[in-house]
Amino acid sequence: MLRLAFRTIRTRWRLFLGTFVALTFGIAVMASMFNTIFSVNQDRPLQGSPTRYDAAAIIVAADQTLRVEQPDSSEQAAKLAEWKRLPVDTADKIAKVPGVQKVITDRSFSATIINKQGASQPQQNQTGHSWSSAQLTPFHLMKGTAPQFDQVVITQAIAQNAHIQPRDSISIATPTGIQSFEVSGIARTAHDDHLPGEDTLFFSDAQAAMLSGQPDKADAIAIMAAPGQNISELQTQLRAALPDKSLQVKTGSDKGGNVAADIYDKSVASVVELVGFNIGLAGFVCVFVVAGTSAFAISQRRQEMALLRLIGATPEQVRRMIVGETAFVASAAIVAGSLFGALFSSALATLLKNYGVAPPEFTSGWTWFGTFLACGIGVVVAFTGVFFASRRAGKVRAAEAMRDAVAEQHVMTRGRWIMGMLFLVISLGLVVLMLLLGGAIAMALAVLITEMLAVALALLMPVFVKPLVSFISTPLVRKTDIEGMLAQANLRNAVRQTTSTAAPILIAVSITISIVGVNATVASSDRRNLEKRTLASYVMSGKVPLKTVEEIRQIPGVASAIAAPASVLYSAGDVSSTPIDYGALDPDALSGNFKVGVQAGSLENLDKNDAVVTILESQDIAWKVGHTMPIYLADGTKTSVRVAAIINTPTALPEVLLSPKLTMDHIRSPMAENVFIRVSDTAGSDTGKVLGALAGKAGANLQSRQMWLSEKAKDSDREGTLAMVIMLGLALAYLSIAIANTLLMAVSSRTKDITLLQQLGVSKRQIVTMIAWETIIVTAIGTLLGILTASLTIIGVWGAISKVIPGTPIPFVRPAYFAAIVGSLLVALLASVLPVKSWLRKGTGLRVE
Amino acid sequence: MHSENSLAAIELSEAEKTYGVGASNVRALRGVSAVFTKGSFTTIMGPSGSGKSTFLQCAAGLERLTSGSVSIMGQEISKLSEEELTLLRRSRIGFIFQAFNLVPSLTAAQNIELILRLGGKPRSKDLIQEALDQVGLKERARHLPSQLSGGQQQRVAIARALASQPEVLFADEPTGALDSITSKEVMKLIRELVDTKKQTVVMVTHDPNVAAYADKVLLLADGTLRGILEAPSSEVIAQRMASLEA
Repeated sequence: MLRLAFRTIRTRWRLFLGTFVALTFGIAVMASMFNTIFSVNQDRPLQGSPTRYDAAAIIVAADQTLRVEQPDSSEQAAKLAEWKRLPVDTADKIAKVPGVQKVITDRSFSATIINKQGASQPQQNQTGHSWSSAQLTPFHLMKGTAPQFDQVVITQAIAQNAHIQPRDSISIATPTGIQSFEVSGIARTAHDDHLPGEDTLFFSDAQAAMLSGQPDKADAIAIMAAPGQNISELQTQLRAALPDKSLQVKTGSDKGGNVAADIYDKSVASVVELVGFNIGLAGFVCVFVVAGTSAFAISQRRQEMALLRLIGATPEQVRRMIVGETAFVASAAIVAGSLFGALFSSALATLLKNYGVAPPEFTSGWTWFGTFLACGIGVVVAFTGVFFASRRAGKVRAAEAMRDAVAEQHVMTRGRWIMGMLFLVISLGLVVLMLLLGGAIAMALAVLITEMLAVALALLMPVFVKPLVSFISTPLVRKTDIEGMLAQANLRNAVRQTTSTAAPILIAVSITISIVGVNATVASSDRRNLEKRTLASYVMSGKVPLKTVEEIRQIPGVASAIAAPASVLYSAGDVSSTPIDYGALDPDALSGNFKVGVQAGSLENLDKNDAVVTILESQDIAWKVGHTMPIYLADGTKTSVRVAAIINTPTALPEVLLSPKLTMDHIRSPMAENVFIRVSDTAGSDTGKVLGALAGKAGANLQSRQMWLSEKAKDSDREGTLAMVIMLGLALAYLSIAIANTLLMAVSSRTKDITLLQQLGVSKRQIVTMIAWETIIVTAIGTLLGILTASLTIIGVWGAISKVIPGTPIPFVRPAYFAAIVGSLLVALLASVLPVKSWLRKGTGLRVE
Repeated sequence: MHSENSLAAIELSEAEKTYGVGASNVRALRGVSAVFTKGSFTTIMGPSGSGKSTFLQCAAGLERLTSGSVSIMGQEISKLSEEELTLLRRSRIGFIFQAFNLVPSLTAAQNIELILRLGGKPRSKDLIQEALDQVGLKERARHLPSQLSGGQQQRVAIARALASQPEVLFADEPTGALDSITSKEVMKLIRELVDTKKQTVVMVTHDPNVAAYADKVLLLADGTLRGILEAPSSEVIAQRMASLEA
């Protein structure tokens, strides 16, 4: 049977082309996603970059890992999100260790240059350091002198980009405020005019200590060894000399300081998140398309199966032949899919880089594990799909070979009924669940619900497709000559084909509308909420030092100004999951600038250990009013907070608020991203002008409420776009294959019908028109059902969100909807009309067979 | 004054049809000439390979002659374009094939309606019902071909011809797939068509009993005309066939 399988494929390869292409594409797409994810761990392109500590022998730093012992004695660990500093006096203990030639205290802090125009230069990662740490890289002075107090040395790269000369005076914003410095010199490394990943500024040691905001803490202590000293011996001795055993003593590449690599690692994490999320969808579409394609292909070959049975093949042998065919097709698809997978990987990497999700150095290529995984899944999908179809094929009776007309077999088998009802019940149940639970869970469930509903409808479609066809096409029948009548009759008669073609369209349309619609619903509800609740008259954005916020409060006419420096915390019970963002802000300051709705608890009499959470976030992280939550702050400090209230505020602010009294000392760079300023009714136009001037001094951006709101709206629109582009592009491209495949196969099996029509006097143009109308009707069916499916999901999400944020509008029409519908229609028309036209043109003659 | 030609529904003159090229070519028709008058019922008979199917297809315009000419109702069709031939098939030529006569997705009534609409002929429901009634299938009007037996399908094809009244009806082995009783029913209906509606019928068959229903029998062998029999009995036909095959 295997040889027969091979022969069949060789001579009638068109039958298998669709399945082969579908499987290849599926494997390629999954491979590209897996490759991308695994590339993140494998390729570390910036590992060899010059680091800040190349010239240092040993670096002593605090342990950057948070280790928490759980009640069940297991240990959870997480890498601290913000760099933890160590006490400066550690340097004293180190200096005494023999073999240590020099001890240098390294300090790092945010230092942003504000140019003459007011807004700061869009440079990368401007960081200030103590001048003595320059020798660790090493940096050399090219021009000028080392910095004294109120002086600064900048790199040659900065000097060139910002056109700064020695002796110029520049304004710099640090966590402690904004100050003028005189440029005393220009530095460069041995090989370059800057250190990769950083724009470096050097201040005098004493000043650096002040500017860092924590003079008694250093970022690292660096050691230069005496000549001839054995480094690993020195390392051991240092470890022994340090009383705090948690401190890390590192040499070689463990020293760290690879700024470029650190930045790369952070930004590449979002790649994993995005791609990982999409793999689920890719898998779903792959299963759906491959299963549908292979099942349809087999159903088209019923007579062939009957013939085999007629000449004496057992059902088992027929099944084996089909499995053999699938094995061949799958083998070919694995090879092709792997190759394309490597190609798609680079394309995906480029796409991610263009949208700014992946850093510019990111590459994605072939990984063994990723490709293996994709091929494995593809093979499982292929054989599972064929398993059910081959069982039906085995049941074909030999007598069918004798019959001329191939009567439509029962499309709705018991299995199909069961699966269809199952999916329907589950998805409707999920909708109810979504409405009950509401909030963040709704969004996560939304796409899943759409997928399940769509599959349910696709499975149950044969039940209602005939009346649906009639309903849609009746006006058409009346308007056209014979084309409409024939199209309607053909679609009603060939239930399996109609269903197989409408189903992928249904999926494409429903997924598109659902993803876009859910995103739009969430975005518009956010927008509305923001508008309703923001009372601020101005918003100042940038990297604003808290001192500046104080100055804002002093301006006559300003009623209130609030800022919430951001940081992260770890939940003690679940340290290894994503850290929770929070802002340091006294909640009673909120009401000056925001309309706060208190859903539970109270904002009265809050003390330093109280926390306030928004409704959606409280559902997400399961913080309930009155509970005390043990947490770790960003630098690893253990503390706990009591959840005092659950509030309703717009997402412009962090969703968790902790008291500055508790947290300020533990935030590394307490600067404000947004300052919300409310102006009193009696203020004159001067207030705006003064604020503008202050913003200029701080290198920040001042916007009126309206400007800020409209910019936020634009931003949130753009944010969702990349995720949607990937998901939709993938789904739609793949579904095009399914549509095209079904139609191609369908035409080749209709040559007899078409010949008869020509013999009866139907012109070629009428035949093409008939096919086109069939396609249009089927697309209309798929579209209608797709819209129905997505609408249910969107209404569910809307209902869930409305409970939390009432008054959310439903996004009815978006351009992406039309793209999906029109796209499907175009592909379908091309796939159906072109083959017919070319077949008609070839004109095999109207010979009566 | 009527010349024989003005009564000719179909006229073939020196019809040649060759398939293939070079050494492996097949000369299916070798200069055949024949005239079919209006209202006549003619059968083309011959052993297999005689070219009778080719003859029919060329006469009906389904195939183009290699040389020679075919005229239908005085109009030379050998030079017509594909489009024009299609128009011909709509209103002026009808077909009954051995099998697969009906559009599978249309009901019996809709199959008839299709022909009427194609030909631009008036399509009243009554006309269709009457045609089906005349072949005894009034209750099957809304059945699909898959729900009809072979004989019933052929009868629907005849009803189709009844309703659309083409100038010429070509029938290629219309009873080939039927048993003898059903064959008789079908042939009686065709004969009725000729007698009552003056339908011109050109039929191809290999069955002498079926051929006997015709007014004239043309005997074909190896692509040439071997004889014409006027209103022969089935025995005579069988005899002549045997001698042809010898």
